[in-house]
Amino acid sequence: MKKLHLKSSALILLILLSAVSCVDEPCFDIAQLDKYSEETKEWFVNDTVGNQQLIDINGIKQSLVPISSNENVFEETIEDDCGNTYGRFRYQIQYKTSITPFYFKVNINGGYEGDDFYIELECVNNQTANQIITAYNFISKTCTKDNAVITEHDELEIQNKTYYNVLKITFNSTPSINDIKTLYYAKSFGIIKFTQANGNEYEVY
Amino acid sequence: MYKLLIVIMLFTLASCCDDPVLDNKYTLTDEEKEYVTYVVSDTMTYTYSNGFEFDMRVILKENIFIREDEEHRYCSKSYFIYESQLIRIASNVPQFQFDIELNAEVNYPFVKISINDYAFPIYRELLPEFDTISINGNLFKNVYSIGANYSDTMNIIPSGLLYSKEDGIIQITMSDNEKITLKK
Repeated sequence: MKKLHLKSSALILLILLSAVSCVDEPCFDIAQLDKYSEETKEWFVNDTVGNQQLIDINGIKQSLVPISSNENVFEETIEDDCGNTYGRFRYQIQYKTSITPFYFKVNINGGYEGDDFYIELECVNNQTANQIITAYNFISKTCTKDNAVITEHDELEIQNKTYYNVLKITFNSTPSINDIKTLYYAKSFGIIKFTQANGNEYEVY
Repeated sequence: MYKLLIVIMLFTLASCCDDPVLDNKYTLTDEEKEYVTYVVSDTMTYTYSNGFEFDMRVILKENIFIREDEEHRYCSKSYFIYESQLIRIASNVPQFQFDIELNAEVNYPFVKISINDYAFPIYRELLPEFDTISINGNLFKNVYSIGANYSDTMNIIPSGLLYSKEDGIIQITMSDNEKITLKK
């Protein structure tokens, strides 16, 4: 009798497990994903934006040099139960400053889930050898790391020019006073301003 | 089996290299060392074209020996070492870093001054361009003038440099004609 009870319990468990694995994943909302992709790609730097000149708070001038930019559409795609497929993409741009030791890398990503649509920003000070990386999700509009506060501004005026849709990234702490404290990234324009923890500011003009 | 034997023979041959022997050792002479007179903690004031002044400090001065192996297809038989002195001058606002390398070996730029990624070499045969030159009312003697070999017209980069044994980096001219000048 006990043996029969054990067998029936095992059978019920198996049926339950099968039932769980039979739950259908929701199909991709293609229209929604297309909208996310389109909005995310608006943050890519336009091809018409070339080398930028920078001026600091003391009037010293130099250049912000884009050293590479590229867009990759990954071949990897995911297929849902409805037969829809969706792929991921990544845009990358790297900059250096011409006479100060700063390097920046920006990755803009998209994919098939809300978490896939984000911008990742990396700041390196080659003199202190310190590197800070943070990220911002375009869908949830939140910083996805706990090392910075990121806010989105409708517009910002810098050197008498108005930029629209600007991300302001403020790092919570910097290992050295010479490291980057805040970074401003404008939609379709790229980096437009950054400041060091020592108080110096650099603006595109 | 035959292939295995060849592989073993090749490995044996590869391990036949004798240790390369030290062929030459080039050290900086006292006369050469006079080309860089900076001392750690020295502080110099520089002026930007618009009048803004900032201090730069010597944060490093060290001598090392660098090894160069003689080029050979399989086994290098000899190598030489040469003395190199690195001097680093830095500031915080603006954050600049100037590196000066003094090399004892004849095949290298004798003195190489780097402003971020941009290098200005002084070769042994180069003579000072000016016996004396007056800049902002200050007189500098035996001044080398070094131009940049960069064809970048898009960016503001260092395009020229004045240097002397006595005063080190005297002036950096940028490609937008702004200047960073030593204040004596």
